[in-house]
Amino acid sequence: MKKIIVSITFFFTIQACSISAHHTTAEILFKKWNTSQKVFQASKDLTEFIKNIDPQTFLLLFQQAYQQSATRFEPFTPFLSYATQGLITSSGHHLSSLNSILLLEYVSYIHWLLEYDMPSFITLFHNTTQFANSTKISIDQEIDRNNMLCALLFSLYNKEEQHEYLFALANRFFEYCFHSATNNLFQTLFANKQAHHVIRFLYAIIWFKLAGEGWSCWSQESLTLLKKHHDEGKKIVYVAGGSDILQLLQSEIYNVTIIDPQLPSQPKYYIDSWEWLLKGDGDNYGINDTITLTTHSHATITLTRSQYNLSNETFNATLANNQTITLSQSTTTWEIHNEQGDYLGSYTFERRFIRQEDFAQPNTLFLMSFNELFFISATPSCNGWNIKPALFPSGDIFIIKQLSRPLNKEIIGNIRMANLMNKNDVKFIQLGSCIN
Amino acid sequence: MFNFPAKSSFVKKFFLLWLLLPASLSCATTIKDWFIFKQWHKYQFVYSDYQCATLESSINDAWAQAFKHKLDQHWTYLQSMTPFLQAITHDQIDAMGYCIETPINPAFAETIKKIYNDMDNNIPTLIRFFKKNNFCSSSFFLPQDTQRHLITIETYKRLAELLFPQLNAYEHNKVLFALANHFFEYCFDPATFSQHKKLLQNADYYPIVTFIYSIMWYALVNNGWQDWHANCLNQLKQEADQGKTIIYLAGGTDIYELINQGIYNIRVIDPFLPHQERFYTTGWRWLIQDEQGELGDIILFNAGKKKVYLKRVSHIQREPFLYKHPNNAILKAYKTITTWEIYDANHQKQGTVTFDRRPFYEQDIRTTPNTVVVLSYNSAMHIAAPDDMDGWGIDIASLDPACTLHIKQLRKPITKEHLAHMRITIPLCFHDLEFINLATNPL
Repeated sequence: MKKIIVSITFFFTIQACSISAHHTTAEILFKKWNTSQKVFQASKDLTEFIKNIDPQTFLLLFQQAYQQSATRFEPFTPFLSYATQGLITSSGHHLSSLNSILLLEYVSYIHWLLEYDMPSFITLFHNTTQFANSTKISIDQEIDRNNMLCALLFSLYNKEEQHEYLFALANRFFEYCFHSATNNLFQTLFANKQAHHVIRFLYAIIWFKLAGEGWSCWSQESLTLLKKHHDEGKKIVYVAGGSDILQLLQSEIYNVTIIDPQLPSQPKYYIDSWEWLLKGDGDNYGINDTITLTTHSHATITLTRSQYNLSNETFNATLANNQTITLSQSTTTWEIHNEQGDYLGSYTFERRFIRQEDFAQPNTLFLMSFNELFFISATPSCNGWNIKPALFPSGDIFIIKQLSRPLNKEIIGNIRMANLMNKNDVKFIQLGSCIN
Repeated sequence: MFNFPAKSSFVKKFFLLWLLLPASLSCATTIKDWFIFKQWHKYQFVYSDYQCATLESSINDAWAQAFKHKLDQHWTYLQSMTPFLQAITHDQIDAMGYCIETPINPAFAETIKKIYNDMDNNIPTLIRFFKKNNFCSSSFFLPQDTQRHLITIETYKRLAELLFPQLNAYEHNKVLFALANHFFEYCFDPATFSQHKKLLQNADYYPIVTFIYSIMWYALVNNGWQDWHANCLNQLKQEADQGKTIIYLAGGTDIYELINQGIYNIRVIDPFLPHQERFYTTGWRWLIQDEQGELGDIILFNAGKKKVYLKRVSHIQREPFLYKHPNNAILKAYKTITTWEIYDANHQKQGTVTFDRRPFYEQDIRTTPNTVVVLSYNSAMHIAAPDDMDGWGIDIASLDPACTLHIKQLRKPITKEHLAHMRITIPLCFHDLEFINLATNPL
């Protein structure tokens, strides 16, 4: 009798589960990423620009962009004069169809410097923009103006292609600032008030292209690297990854742990159904819910919610409005199978804040967005998450989704120092700041 | 010989009596330097550079015995450093204890000579040697609260004592003062700052960086806050001889050695905060005429290169300024300028000492063609520190790139670059190392 009752109960449980299980597709669930998320080549060779554009077209676009904002470019006139070999001067410009080839050649020298000799570019920029320091404008205006200058140097009809060049340029600037080979040069800029506008210029591009505008973008290089390490059996922890898993799944990266408090105040950084991704409907919280997805190599995979554990532990989170809320920690696991039903791996969402000890896991790569890179590198006095990069294991174990190259703790330590110097001396935008 | 009024022979008694008199009855008086500058006279040392390599010849059997004796004394502290001690003694120390051979183990003697040489000339090599020889395996390293800070500092002090087992306390302080100078240069000189930075960026190396900071703090702040480096005094003397005025920032009453060295044009800018009087001499209030004191007062200097006397010639009281007491109370004091003229035995004017009582400002650290700035190591740290790290609100980035500051405990003046490197180190020391603030007051 007991057996019969158990069997009946089990039958109805299964039925209940299958009845309540929700099925969706990646196209619907990740619509936000499908429409807005870009994957760029962050190591794109900036000197390729000249090869793919007709001089006349470049002249036209350059002329248009310059004339539209000529007054805003005024502080950069000596720099632009150098960049165009005198076609732009303080008394006006001599841009005409007669010198389109020359213009492209002159500007491509700047591209060459940006690609191969950043220290010389910084010296040139510093020397030709001295009085950009004297005009007082707001941080937002300065970010705009600096980004317009870079957009001018990479004037293109195809805005997505231009975006890719500027994304790559932001990567080069990042490397100049924080990679060990040039970090000492960058640090000396902080000690000289006359060079602070150079820091603001670099930060304006880095922040806007990798955080402000680029927070959702991926570099192709980071995905390729993650795939390589994933295939070699490395564990991947996506720090504060939210629901940003579409690109990973499409790249056939099947084992990832996402550690994120999933704060209700940040929906713009998540997909619309972020709560469902963590916890399904019904008594069993959506066990057996499925998501189907087609990868870049046209394989169809299915994610099935296999586990949802609500912990007794809670954590407090301060929202943007300074209200403190208490949330429960939880773990949600989605198993991944191919069309043949073979198990490929699993995605685990751990709803909590990242902790120092998470970074001590061996054989693990830590993936994060550029904004979060700032928060793990910053000291508490710079609004950081109280993580100490000096305690991280050695090696290139950090992959930042917008960057072309992995990072180690030394580079993160350099960012930590720069955050402090920016806060104390330059007082420009912090690199992890959110968009308004 | 000086020809002073007869009362000078009764200086001490007279001064005490004079202190008891109501202000209205007081009159100009004459006292001796040792009386007003007793603290400096008794406890202030002038150290010249020390070459540890000069001790090489003393590394013999007696040295080994002294080493063993120090181990006996300090083993409770040093036991935690066994892996490092085992490496440098070539296995004469291990987890079971120690057994120091006599005659001295030749390999051990060579290692000590190498350490001495590196301390003198090559700190980067010394650091590499430490890394290679298990310095970072120290088990005691837990620098997270004040008590642990003190244990850490004490352990490293005893380690330093062990490495120089035959020196007396004075010579030992002299060695540490020199070593602290070399460490300071390693940490903040442009040539090696990036190496120091790498130590701070990797917790594996924290024992080394903590050792460096412990020695620097002990020798330049805790024990050495009042001491001078002979090079600094010589450099200031050269500048003074060229007619420059020495601007001593936050110098308090610390003019004793300057005058003894024959530096006679000094302007001390200091707020003279009463709660910091332990850093001044006992008679500081009299010196700046905050209480008692009269025009015509005289101080006799007999111990220096030349016998001179200081005569108070003016005292001007200006507007009040506010300052914060450690108990957070906002208090008021008056800006004053007290001027003392310096005369030699023939009553020829040699120069002027001015005590400019006020907070100081960024422009005060600007060197001009006629001035040179000196300050203590501790004050330099406060100048470099960001505002939220006990900084004094100085914008380092806007200083003249040619800015040079003489630090009384350092053998070489520092530049704007040093200050910038100190500025970034201070918050990292606080947030990451969680070790003693480099500018912490002496205990």
